[in-house]
Amino acid sequence: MRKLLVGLAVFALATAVATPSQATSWGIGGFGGINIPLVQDDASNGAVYGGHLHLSMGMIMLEPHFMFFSNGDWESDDVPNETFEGSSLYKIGVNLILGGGPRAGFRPYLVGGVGYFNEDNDFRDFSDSQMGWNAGAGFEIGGGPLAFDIRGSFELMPLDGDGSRKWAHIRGGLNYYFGVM
Amino acid sequence: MKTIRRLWRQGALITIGLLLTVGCIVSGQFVIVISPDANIHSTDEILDWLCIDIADYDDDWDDHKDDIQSIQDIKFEAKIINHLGTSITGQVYILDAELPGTPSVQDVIDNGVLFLSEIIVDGNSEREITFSESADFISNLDEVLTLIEDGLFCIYGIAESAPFDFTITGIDEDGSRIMITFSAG
Repeated sequence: MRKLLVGLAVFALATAVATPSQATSWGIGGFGGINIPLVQDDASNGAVYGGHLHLSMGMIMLEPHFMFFSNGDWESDDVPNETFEGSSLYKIGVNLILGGGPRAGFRPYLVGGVGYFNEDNDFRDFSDSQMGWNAGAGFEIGGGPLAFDIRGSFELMPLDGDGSRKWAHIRGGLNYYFGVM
Repeated sequence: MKTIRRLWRQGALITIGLLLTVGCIVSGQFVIVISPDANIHSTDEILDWLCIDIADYDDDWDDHKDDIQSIQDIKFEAKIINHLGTSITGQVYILDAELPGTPSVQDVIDNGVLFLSEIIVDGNSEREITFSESADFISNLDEVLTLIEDGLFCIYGIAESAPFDFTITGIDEDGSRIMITFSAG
């Protein structure tokens, strides 16, 4: 843990020194990708898309965000020739990003945060909302105000009662930072 | 660069550790479909029922039964055949154990949880209900999900009013089917 804290401090110092003029700035971004349900018999791969704000404060960024994602329709080996509807979900949350941001070149980052998940499923005649969390990593690459953003994340929504739903999101997007030349 | 690599490695280790600590990385949702190999043929004078031990039908349940966190959903697929000339409104009750002796309709109502209702079948005809349609007839879902958590339950078929004479069977030769979604870890 001590090594991690020292590492974070070194990284923060290096970032602050390298980009004094962009110590505080903000940007907007949009993204899309694939949603991969993890250990869920009642779901298959679906799509994820959404948008976010990036509020940069030196080495860290705050990322208020929203996203829509879907579990694809699924089948059961025991019920041949029938397809069942997967869930539709949305999430509103806020992440903390370590790294990335409005700087030129390749900028890897770690990301984690909390969010409000809502799940709807017509097949199950079911709707539920829970607070969940996510963690992941990615990188931004670009120059000037524009940056391509590639991210992999793990998303978890606790279930009412016990258990949880989990997904892996692999997504790409574009960020635009204001006030960056 | 070394610092960044070390930071990433430590971040990944912390994330994996967190997931393992909360025990969530190996949990998930499982769907099983069981096909009871018997029909239910009930009349207002002689009731019929079916008792099910899910472990007898599905290895997944047997594998996970000690780690089941909650039952998430139950659906069914069946055909109801009305043997009388007048229409009936079929009902299905779920009990956690078999009623002793020769139970009456009132015994079932008094001791069971109403699971399916408003299944209207015209006289001398039949009605098919698919998994997708079954949600329209389900009531007391949370109570039923709790009741079947140990994997043992009994299904009793009755109608809202006498006389009645009907059979609950499968849509095809596979027999009626019950789909159960549960969370286990």
